[in-house]
Amino acid sequence: MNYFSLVKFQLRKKSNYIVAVIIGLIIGIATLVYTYETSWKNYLNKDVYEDITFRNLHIQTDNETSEEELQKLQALDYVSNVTYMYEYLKTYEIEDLTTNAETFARADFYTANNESLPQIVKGTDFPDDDGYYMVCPENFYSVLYNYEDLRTKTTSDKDDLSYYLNKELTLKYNGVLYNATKSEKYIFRTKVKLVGLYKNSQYSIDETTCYLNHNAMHDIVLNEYTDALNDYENQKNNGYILTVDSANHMDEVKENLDKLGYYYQDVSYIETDYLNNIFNNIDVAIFIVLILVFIFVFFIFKKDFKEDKAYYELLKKVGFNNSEIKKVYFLTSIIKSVIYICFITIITLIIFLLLKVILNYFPYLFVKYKVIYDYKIILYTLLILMFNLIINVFLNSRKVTLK
Amino acid sequence: MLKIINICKTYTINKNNILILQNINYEFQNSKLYCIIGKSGDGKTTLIEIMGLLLNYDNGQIIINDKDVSKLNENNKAMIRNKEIGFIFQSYYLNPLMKAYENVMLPMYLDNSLNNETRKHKAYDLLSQVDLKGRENHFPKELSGGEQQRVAIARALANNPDIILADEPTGALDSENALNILDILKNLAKKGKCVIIVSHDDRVKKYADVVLKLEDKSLKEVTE
Ligand SMILES: Nc1ncnc2c1ncn2[C@@H]1O[C@H](COP(=O)(O)OP(=O)(O)OP(=O)(O)O)[C@@H](O)[C@H]1O
Ligand SMILES: [Mg+2]
Repeated sequence: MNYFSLVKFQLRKKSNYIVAVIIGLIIGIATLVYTYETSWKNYLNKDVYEDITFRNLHIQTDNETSEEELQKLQALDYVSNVTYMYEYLKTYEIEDLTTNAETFARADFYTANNESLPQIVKGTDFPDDDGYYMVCPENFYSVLYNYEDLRTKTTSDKDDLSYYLNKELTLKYNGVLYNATKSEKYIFRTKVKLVGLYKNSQYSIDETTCYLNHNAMHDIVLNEYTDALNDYENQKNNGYILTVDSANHMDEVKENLDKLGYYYQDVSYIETDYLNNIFNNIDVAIFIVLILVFIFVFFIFKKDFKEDKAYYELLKKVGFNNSEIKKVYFLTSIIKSVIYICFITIITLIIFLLLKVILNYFPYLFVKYKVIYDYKIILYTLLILMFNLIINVFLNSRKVTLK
Repeated sequence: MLKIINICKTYTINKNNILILQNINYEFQNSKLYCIIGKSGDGKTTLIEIMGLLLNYDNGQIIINDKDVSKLNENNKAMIRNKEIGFIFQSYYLNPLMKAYENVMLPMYLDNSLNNETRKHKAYDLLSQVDLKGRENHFPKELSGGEQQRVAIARALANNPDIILADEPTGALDSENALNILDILKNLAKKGKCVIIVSHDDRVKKYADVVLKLEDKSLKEVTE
C-alpha cells in the first residue's frame, strides 16, 4: 500500500505552517538578539580587555623612579613590560606616509619589549641590540585628522606597511618648549627601522597602535625635551606603567602590588556592571522565550494530534488494521516534524540573510563591532522541537489504536 | 446476510459490570431495509458497532455471508469491515482535509488491485450515484449536511459491501435531506444490500421493511 497517499492529506492543514512560521520568527529574533550579545561579549573579552590599554596599570611612587625599581617590577609574575610613565605612550607623525599638508600620517607608539609585543605575522620582533626599532599592525590606518574620522574610513585607505618592512621610517615630532614665548618650533626627526608587523585584534581596534623598543622611545623622548630639561626631570616623578601579559592575570598582579605596598590605577577602565546586567537580562529573556516555545509547541502538537485522531478512527472504521494505522501515524508524524524543522530553519536563516544584506549596505553600523553569528539558539530550538516531537509521537502512538 | 447469535455485551464502569445486551439473536437478510429503534442508552450504537466488528463482545457469534467471523483475528476482522461492511454515521465522519472524492476513495486504498486512477474513477462514479456530480473536488466544509451525508454513503459503498450499517444517519438533517438519504438507502436495499439503520426517527420506520426494537437488553420484531 502507498502510505504516502494516506499521509499527504494530513499535510494540508494550514495552521501547522502558520505555527512553524511563528516559531521561526520568534527563534530568528531570539537568535539575532543572542548574536548581538555574543558579538558584544566577544568584542569586550577578545579585544577590549585584551587590548594593551586595558592591561596597563599606572604605578605612582612617592620617590623618583629608578632603573632598579623598574627591574624589580619587571620581575613580578605575569608582568610582561614596565616603562616609565613619560616613555609609555606617544603620538608621532610617520613622515614617509604623509601624502599632503592637511593629512599627516600619525600613529600611537607604545614602548614594548619582546615579551609584551603581540603576535608577529610578518618580519621579526625587536633585535637584541641598541638600534631603533618599531613594530606596526598588519592592518594599519595612519592618516587621520582626529579620532572621529577613523570610523568613516574604508579598507581602501589602509596603508600596507609590508613595503616598508626592514626599511627605516622617519618619525617627526615637535620639541617641548619650556619657554612659551618662543614662537619657533623645534622639529625633530628620528629614523626607526620597521622590523615586524603584528596580527591585529579581532575587531582591529589596534589599527593605529605601533610599538617602539625601549631604546628608541628613550632617545626620542629625550630629544623632545631638549629645550625643557627641567620639565623632563619633573616627569621622572610620574611613576611607571606596568603591562600585564593577559587580562586574566590582572587580579593576581594587583594582589602582588598590594602586598608590596604600591599604589596603582587602571590606565583604562570600562563600567562593565551595566553591560553585564543587560546581558544577564537578555539571557533570562531568551531562556523564558525558549521555555514558552517549548510549552507552546507541546500544546500545539497535542491539539494537532487530537484533530488527526479522528482520521485514525475513520481509518479503523473503513477497515484499516492497527498496524496499518500505526504506520500512517508514524509516517505522518515524521513528515510533519521534518516540515516543521525545515520551516523554522529556513525562516531563521532568511532573517540572518536579511541582516547580512543590511550590514553590507550599511557597514558603518557595525564597523567596530564585528557580528559573531551565533546559531546556538537555533540548535537549542531544534532540539526542543525534536524532543517535543518524540515525546508526542510516543505518548500518542498508544492512543492511535486504543479502543 | 448477517446473523447474530447469542450476543452479550457488558460495559465495565468503575468496576461495575453493566449488562447492555443479553442473548441477542437475529438474522438480517439481503435486499431488506431494517430499522432498529429503542430508547436512548438502550445500546443501539453498541449493537451496531458489534455487528460492524468495531467492538468486542462477551460471547456469541456473528455470521456474515455464511462465514463465522467471531473467531477471526483483528486483522481479518478489519478486512471484513473493509470488504463486506459500509458504515454511515450521524456526524458523517468525513476527513475535513480530503476532498469529496478523496473521502470516497479512502476504503479503496486497501485494495491493491486498483490503481489511483481507477479509484478516482470509481469514486466519481459513486458520487454521481448519490447525486453529487460536479461536487467531487469540494471539501466537506463546502458541502451542506445532506451533501456530506451523501458523500459518506458513497464512501460506505466504495468496496461494494453487502451490508450497510447506519447509526442515526438522518439525525442531523432536516426533513427534505433526511427523506433524500432514506430514498437512497431504500434503493440500495432494493438493489440487494442488507441495510440496517439505527434511529428513533419516525420517518425511518415508514421506509423500513422490518422494524426492530431494542428493549430490556434484547431485540424484538415490531409488528403493527
Ligand atoms: N465505552 C463505553 N464504556 C462504558 N459504557 C458505555 C460505553 N459506550 C456506551 N456505554 C453505555 O452503554 C449504554 C448504551 O450506549 P449506546 O451508545 O449503545 O446507546 P444508544 O442506544 O446508542 O443511545 P443513543 O440513542 O443516545 O445513541 C449507555 O448507557 C452508555 O452509557
Ligand atoms: Mg447511539
